[in-house]
Amino acid sequence: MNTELDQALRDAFERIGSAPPPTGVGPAVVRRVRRQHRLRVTFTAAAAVVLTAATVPVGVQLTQGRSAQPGGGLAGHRWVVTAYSGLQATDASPKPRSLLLDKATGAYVSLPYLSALPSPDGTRVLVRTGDDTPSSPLRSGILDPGTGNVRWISTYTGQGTWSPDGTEILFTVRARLSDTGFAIVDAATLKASFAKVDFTEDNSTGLDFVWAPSGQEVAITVSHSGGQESQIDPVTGVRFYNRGGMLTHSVPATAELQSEYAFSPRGTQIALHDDPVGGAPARIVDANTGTVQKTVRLSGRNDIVGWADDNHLIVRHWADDLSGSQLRIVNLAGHVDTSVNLRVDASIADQVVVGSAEDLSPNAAGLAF
Amino acid sequence: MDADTERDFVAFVEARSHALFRMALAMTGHRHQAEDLLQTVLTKALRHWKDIRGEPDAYLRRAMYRQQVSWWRQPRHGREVSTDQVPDRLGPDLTERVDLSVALSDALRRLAPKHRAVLVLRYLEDLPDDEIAQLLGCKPTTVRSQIARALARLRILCPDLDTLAIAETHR
Repeated sequence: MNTELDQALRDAFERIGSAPPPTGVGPAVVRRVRRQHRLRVTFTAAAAVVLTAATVPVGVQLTQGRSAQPGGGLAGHRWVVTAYSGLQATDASPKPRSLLLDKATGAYVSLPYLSALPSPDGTRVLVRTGDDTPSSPLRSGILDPGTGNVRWISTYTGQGTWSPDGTEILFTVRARLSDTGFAIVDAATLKASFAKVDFTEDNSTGLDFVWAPSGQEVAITVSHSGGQESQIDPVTGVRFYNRGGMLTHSVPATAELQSEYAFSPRGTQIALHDDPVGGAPARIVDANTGTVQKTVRLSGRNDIVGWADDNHLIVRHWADDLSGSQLRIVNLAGHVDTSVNLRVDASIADQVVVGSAEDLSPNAAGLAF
Repeated sequence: MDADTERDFVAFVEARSHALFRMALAMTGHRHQAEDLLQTVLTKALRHWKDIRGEPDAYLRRAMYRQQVSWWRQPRHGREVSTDQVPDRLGPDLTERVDLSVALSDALRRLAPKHRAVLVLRYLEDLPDDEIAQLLGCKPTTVRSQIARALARLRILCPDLDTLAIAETHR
């Protein structure tokens, strides 16, 4: 960046930040913490939460009059939000939490974790806790929702993801002594296998490894710094590795592979997407060759949540001010077939996990879309 | 929390409140939100004071960044805020000479907080990419990528930036 622009930014920030600080902040904070400590002590006896007792009526609501198909959804397919993972602390809920759907009751259980990702069959939940301080380091564990017990994974602290069959968890490893790569942890035994891959120099956008649909390979976006700070690092491809960390093949790409949910149900297509400023299309590419088959135009800011079927994407569409979001089922021509508003108190979750609405309690049929 | 911890904490805040508030203001662009942000992260810091007092500045920078980014997605912080100042907006008369500094300040206020925060760390706090990466728990290349995205967005919000000759080089 040239000096002139550099200086203009410094001056602008100096100008924005030039105001005297409030007085008495230190003592005010001390009083606040003392008060919160007293409240915490008061409530400790009641805080032994039984998992199924801490239900909160939070779910999705079909947007009235905005669905292209009254009743919503695709013929033969019904979906439901199975977890709102990563709700930040608020005054009402002073600790981060996540919400997990109990299909039997149709209610969402509030969990005191930074994230909560249900396994594909819903029998286990990958949870994460900690605030990255020496006294409370980040760690992941496997929660049994039936008992509330968590088996903690001591080795890897990043955000893991479930394998397609729900038996293993994938972690991207950026610092393990001097090695980088990925680790696969067996969910039953917690035994881990690490595969060394020198990927960081070819991954300037910082994306993680994701599972390929077979569960026998993982994939990662290839991107390089373009050398111009004002331009976004270009994506050049997606690399696939076997479980031992050997490169098996690559496909060309111009947008990011952001999660395992980007693979179509049959695994033949990938929805690539990169939306730094809003309005970016999703690129549907052949999973074997990288050939672009469709460009799906999307308005505003969006995240690809997954595929509803081989012809429809489930997209999380954000409000312009990011104050909330909704789920949309979008066909590959870019037409919004269904819009589903998320409840305001959960619509800003870091991640919304969508799963099949099969086995959902009839009492909660309104949650399905 | 013992009396020594409280005294130590209050002394630190008194000594550093100007710099910390300046950063909070730059990240939020609004005095009331900056006060909220500062008080929130200081509250967290006090709870962990024994662990972080060797290097509280780094902890507070990181906490401010994370808190601001998390607020970004919360309704109460995404909505319109009351202000006692008329915001610096460009007038409808486009024939007027555009004041770049005003336009830039306005664009920075409208930038997504995640983008604005990473620019604050570089251009106000003057931290090198390695240190920003350490604070944010990512790689220096990711920091550069985030800054590139922020600058790209800034150019959309403030087209007048193109009047400055751009000759990008990495630090």
